[in-house]
Amino acid sequence: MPAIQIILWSIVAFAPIATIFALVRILTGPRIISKLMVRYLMKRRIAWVSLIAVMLCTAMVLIVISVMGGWLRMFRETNHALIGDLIVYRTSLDGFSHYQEMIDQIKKIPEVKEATPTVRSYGLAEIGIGHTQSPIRTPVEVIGLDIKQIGQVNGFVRALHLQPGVLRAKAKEYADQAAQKEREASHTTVVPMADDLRADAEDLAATAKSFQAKADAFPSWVKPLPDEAYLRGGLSSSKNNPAKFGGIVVGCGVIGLRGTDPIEIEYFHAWVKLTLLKFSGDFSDEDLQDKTSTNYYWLSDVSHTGVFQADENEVYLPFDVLQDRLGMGASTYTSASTGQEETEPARCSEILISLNPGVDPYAAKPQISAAVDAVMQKFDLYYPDPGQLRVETWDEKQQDFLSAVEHEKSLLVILFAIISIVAIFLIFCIFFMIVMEKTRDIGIVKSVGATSSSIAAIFLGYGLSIGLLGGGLGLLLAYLVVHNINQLHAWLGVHFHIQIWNAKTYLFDTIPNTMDGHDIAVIVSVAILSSVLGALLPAIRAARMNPVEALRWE
Amino acid sequence: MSAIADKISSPPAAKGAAILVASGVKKTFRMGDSEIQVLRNVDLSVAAGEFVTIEGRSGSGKSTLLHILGALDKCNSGVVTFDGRDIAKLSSGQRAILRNTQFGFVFQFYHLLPELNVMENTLLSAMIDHSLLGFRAQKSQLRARAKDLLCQMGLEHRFRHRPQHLSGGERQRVAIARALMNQPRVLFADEPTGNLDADTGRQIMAVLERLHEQVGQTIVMVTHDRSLACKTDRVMVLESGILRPAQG
Repeated sequence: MPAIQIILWSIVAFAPIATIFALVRILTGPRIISKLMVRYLMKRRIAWVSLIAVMLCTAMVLIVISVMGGWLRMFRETNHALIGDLIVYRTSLDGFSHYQEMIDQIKKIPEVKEATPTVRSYGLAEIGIGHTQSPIRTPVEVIGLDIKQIGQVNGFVRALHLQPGVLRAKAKEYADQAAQKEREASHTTVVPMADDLRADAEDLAATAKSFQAKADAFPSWVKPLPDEAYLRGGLSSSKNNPAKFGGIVVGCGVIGLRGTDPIEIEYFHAWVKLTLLKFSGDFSDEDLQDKTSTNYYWLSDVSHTGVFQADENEVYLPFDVLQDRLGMGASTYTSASTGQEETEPARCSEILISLNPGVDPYAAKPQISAAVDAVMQKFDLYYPDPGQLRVETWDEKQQDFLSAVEHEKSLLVILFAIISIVAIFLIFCIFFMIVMEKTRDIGIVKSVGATSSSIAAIFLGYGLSIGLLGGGLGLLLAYLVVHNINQLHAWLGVHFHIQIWNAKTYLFDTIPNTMDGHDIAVIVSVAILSSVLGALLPAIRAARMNPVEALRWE
Repeated sequence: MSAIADKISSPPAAKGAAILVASGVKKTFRMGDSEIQVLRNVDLSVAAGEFVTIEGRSGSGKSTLLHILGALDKCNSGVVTFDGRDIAKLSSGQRAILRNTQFGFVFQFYHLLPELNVMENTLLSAMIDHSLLGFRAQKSQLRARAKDLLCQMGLEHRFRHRPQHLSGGERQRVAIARALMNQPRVLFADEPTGNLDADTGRQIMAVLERLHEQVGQTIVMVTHDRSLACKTDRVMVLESGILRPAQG
């Protein structure tokens, strides 16, 4: 180990030793230690500078670490929730065949809980909301999934606006309002007013029942909604028959909503025209003409995953519908090159897999890879690079991004170390000044019988109290900032036009506002130890002072 | 701390027996390339209950001798014994305990702690002698003793005042009360009136005389004021580093 490292580690090792020494001496040593320590803390305002420095450093590091760590946690949790535990996928939009055989094999593995195929492609969406607004036209990523199975694999269902829990909550809210109106009616002696209240109560109860019915019928989103929406909008001249429209779920950002915005009922009368590019099974046919597929859908729900890219770009269709519209279903065609009739099995883009609770995805990965390989060999499937079929865990899929952020966090730790050194140096300078200024006091206390270790303990305890107070106040400040960071950010935006958090860059539309207990413990401990370390040399100097020379100090 | 204190403390010497003895004490200070010999073979014996004055001009080494006798400083050669024990052979911690439990100091410039009030300054040596919990357990007795001492010094109305709000005489009386808090065997007074006007100086001297007469306090005082020195049991003169009894 290089000498410089030995010196650095020795210095770092001194901090806990000095802290324990100070604590023991404060509790078991002479009363004068705690007395003077507290009195100096209250009376020496110069020390408040170091206290404020410790507080600000602690708060700053806690805020940055909490936001960055929180972001990383959110990113991991959300991606885990959207992917599942493992994924089998191809980067090529062609997808891969024999996925059902693969799923059957994968499900035979005891650790696997569920596996479901999805289709993924891109398209152009035209969305009409209400009479007056011009349609929204935007490119979208289209995902086909089986709503009945996806809930077993990942957390997508939780992102739906009209999920049963939300619908039931709304049903209860309306039912409560209805009950309230009923109570008011029973207490009203004016008959017309009571009748009005009862009418309101009936309306509210009907709305509550409607929400309850929707909740009970979930997943109703894949069904068309041929209600009065047909009569609205400019669809009457459409060659498509609205009665046959399917349902589509759109990301909230696609229709210009934020996750926190209320979703008005008019959005559920909106139509979506989606144009997709088909990929036929006949790969020899290079002609792309007449291979687009355009269909109308009713917007039947809005999703809010919290992932900016997903909410801004993604729309969701039933798996079989999208598979069919993309030409990825099982098909028979006449080959353009051979002129013979050929059969192409159905294809999907990826298989999402969830494992039983407590199973490590990395431990299950080899078995899943083996199951996939067995099917590929059986059906003689070959997908060369760059479109190779891959089996990855959810975090491997996001590895490039995750490792970049992990590196940023490491850089932050280095930054924290530099900040700690600055704080230590600041405390050292201030304490050195205080010890110089208090030289005569040190002489007096020594002349009255204080030992050198008691003198050292006074100044180490002083540093410790600054660390405890500064660290504690820094934690409080960080807590207040982190827990209100989104409101603060909005306030900065309104009053100063400052936008620090860009959802496009950071993927989430809200800034993470949770603090990690482990981070708090480490950062506050480092702040306390840094304060003691900063006070260490001045304390040693004070302890070594000759009482006679100290008494003569001018 | 009390275990070490037990080792250092010994039963009070009978009145008239030598309690503090210095023999052949030499002290030199280095000033650049030259050496200044402040004390040359100083011999002194202080008996229990005795009030001894060391007189001398400014810079004659009186305070240095007092510091050596009071275990605040070390001599270059010679021996200083307290109750027969060589002070130089004690560790710095043991010397600190000796200063706390057996000795009391009164300085020319009072040397009170500005952050503490009068009561807390008086309790200083008790706060060094007792731990956090020990002090709390005996707080009422200790405060009662401090109050008693301050009342004896005529400072009953000044308990909560800070030193900077007191007159010079009041500060010195607080310093005396502080020095007496742990019931020292020897009280060292370094020019206790040196920073006071004549009237106040006489009042402080009267306090020391009363202590000596009423409770038999052993006092070693350093002064350059012959009129004060005359009021003590014995006057020694320090001149050119040599200590000798005063003439007449």
